[in-house]
Amino acid sequence: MTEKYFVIKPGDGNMMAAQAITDADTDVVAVYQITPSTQVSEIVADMKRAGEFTGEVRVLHGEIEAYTACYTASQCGARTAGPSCSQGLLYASELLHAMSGARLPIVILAANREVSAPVNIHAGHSDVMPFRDSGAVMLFAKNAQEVYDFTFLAFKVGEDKRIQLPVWVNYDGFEVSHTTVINKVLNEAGIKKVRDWLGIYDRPCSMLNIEHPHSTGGLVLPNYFMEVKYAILQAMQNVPKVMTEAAKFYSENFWPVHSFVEGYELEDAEYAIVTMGSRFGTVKEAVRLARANGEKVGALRIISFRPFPVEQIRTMLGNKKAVAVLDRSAVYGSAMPPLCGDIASSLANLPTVPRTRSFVDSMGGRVLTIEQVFKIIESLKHPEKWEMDTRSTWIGVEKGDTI
Amino acid sequence: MNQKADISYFDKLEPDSPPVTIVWHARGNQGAVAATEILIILFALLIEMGFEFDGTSAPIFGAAKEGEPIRIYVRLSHDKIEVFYTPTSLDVIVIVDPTISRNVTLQGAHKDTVFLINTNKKPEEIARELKLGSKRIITIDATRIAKEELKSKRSHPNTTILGAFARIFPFLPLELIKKSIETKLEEKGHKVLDANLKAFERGFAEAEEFDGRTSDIPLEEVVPAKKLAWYDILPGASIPATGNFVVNKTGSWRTERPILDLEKCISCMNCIQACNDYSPDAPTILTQYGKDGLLKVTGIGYDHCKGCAACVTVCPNQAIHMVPETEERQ
Repeated sequence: MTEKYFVIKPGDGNMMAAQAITDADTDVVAVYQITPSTQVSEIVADMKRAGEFTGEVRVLHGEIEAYTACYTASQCGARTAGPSCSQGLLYASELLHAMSGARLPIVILAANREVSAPVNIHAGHSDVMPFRDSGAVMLFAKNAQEVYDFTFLAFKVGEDKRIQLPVWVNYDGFEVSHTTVINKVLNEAGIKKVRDWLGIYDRPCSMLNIEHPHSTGGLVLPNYFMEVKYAILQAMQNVPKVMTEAAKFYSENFWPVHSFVEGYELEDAEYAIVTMGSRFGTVKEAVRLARANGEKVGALRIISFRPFPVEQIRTMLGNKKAVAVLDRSAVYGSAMPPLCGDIASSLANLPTVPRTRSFVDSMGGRVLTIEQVFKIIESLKHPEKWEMDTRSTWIGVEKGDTI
Repeated sequence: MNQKADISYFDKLEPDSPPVTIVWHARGNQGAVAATEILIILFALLIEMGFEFDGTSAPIFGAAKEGEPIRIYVRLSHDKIEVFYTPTSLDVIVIVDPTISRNVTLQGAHKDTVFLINTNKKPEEIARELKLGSKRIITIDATRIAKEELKSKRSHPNTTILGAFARIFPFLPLELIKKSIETKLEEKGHKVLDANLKAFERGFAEAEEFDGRTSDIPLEEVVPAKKLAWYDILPGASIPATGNFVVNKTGSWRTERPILDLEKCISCMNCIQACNDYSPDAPTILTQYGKDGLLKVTGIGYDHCKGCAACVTVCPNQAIHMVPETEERQ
């Protein structure tokens, strides 16, 4: 029997994020606090006071400053985490793009929240989507447990010499960040084992490498710009292999963890519903109930939004009749929001391409109900009735042209 | 059309034929961008007069610093120009500063390319020096002429070169080019404008032409720059060195050289305060402690001086003056 590496601990997403930051022996946490991710740095600071966290916690004067601190710390070879969300991410947007170009494995813990206007503090993916093509790896957790697990995977994968990219651990604001659930966390032996596994972040071109100093942040003109960006593409293509290795180690030594996609009842399904984050539980429950009524439907959750698991999606959804994709962020003036667009382009060029229908739901913390998912399943069976094939259908808009 | 061509140049722009492609190689602050913009203003005037012409001018900068090599690509055409890519084959190559590497300035030359070079040398002499091969060459000592006419602290040879440039396109009316110069420079005041118009006329008159198409001038092919593969670049394009300012001798960017008269120098150190490039590790102003224990200026560090003439401006005793870089060192 293998050694027991965990203890049971109740906690919400923010607490699990803070716990993982501490357990991963992070060197620097720099923040400007913003709802709903405020508690992450508060808990890390408490842990520092208690002597559990040995790194630096810095609360700065704004997200630009906070992420600049993260950027610089990582350039110097420090393991760095930067919790934030919503307006904070947008405010620091140039840093968030720069850190992938500079190849810095900073872990961004984003408690996804809607962006203004109107001001809203609740869950939505509109804050992360502007960065989907910034060159960062992006994971979407469905609960506090995954926030904890993914943070280790994020450091392991991001700091790998084959990758060296920032990794985002996204979790829905309030629904995950503030909902207390019962989790497994590493015990003392587990923390030692995970720290041995993560090792020390060794940045070859660190600014603080005294023997072989490096200059960073230089100007790159047209003659080399695309080569530098091409290296990001190549690193991104290495992620599936490195992530598989990391998830395998984690699953074998600690407890099972999903890494790219999570499927539910997909094998014999004719219809599928795709989603990301905490709403997967709702969809899964609705699928379970629909199955009891004889509906041939399944569900798929995308965990790794970047890199997008194109191969798995083609295998798991390629034989379906119709696929509904539930986005938690909108597109205005085009056919498909981010997730649906990626699903549709992943399925393109197959011998028989499943029909794809785009839905937008749950923005600004609105609740997706089981009944609404039933309606989605019903609509999937009658694609001939789809009136709005060229734009997404918004779910639950009062008097809107919805299903 | 009031100009006569000595050797066959571009005597018109034909419809349905590719644009004439031109490059100006210069250093920052020589006024090459303004010169090409004057050309475009000229074409705008022609269009206003009812001609079916079009012209574009596209500058390409590096660090956008004074003295750094820059280039401006110009297209002139009878038809509407809808391409924006950097031309790979060039009909006219203007070299405002011949100290820029020939591997850069000679790129895109073909057998009928016309060279216009700012130099105090004879056309054949500079052609042999740069190993241009059998080409048509025009030379103009624009740095000297501009200095004489403009009487400025720094030489801006652009309008003088534009004068020589007008010879390559004899169908362009001189009066109209002058009008374009007026449009571009009128905000600088009458004194500057008149001096520039005079410089333009002298550029046109004093240019020397040489039809080397049948000559035996040797041609040395341009060596293309070696390129690193994407995987040879360090993550995030980091450079495995620090403080390489000392190694990179940016003095090669200079178009004009400051000359220090030590007899007039009172070692007030104003020049060090004003210098844009002074660093103790790579001093642009050389200093030494004298027997009296006071710091004395002993000379100019040409390895890193970019020739901006800031020191000339602040010198209370007029101990520093600028000379063109092409003049022999004393």
